[in-house]
Amino acid sequence: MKVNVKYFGMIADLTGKGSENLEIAGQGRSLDMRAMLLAKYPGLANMSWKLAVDQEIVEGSCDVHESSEIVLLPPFAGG
Amino acid sequence: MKTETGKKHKSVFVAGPISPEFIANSIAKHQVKTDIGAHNIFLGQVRADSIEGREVVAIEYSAYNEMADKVFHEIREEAFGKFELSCMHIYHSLGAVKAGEICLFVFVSSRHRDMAYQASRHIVEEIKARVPIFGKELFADDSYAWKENI
Repeated sequence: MKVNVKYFGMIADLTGKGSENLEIAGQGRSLDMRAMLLAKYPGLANMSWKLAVDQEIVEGSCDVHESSEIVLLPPFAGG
Repeated sequence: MKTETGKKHKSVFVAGPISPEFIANSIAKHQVKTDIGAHNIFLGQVRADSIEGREVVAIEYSAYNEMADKVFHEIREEAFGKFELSCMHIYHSLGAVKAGEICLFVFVSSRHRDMAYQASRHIVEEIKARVPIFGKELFADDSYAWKENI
């Protein structure tokens, strides 16, 4: 399954891009996206970041589909 | 930004700094709302922090807009549920805002001061903690660092 993943701020600096299509294994249910992303970008282990799927922060495993909006969020700095 | 489910949320984002004139006009617009007895305004200003000897000259704000609009909407709804407010306006900058300029404008109005004070503090804290806005601190020598709310 191919999914589009977006990166912001210091994470876009790390990946060198604002978004990309990633091929991920699995049926789209209960996927550990964090582990997959950490395997692809080990530098994420040294950063503070959150995973958002369809605009909701996800802590553990989650359902992911081809149309899911998957976004890596660095620390917030609003205000 | 009034609120029916399914209705598109009005964005709180404005390009660049929020001008003192804009703030003054917002205050003036409330003079017809004579049930209001108390306004509370919070203004966030870009601070010229010094980081490892480099001074911040501006912060360039970016956001995950779709989620930010959604979270701003949630914060707004929650605040209306929690506090007795006549109205509420929130504006946040995107793009570059120089040190000394305003990047956040929260404006709440109520019949009495207690609700306005409480709501203002609550809304600002929620924005800082929950809205996916990112800040690139720009230094005079063209280097930068990513800001993090604490």
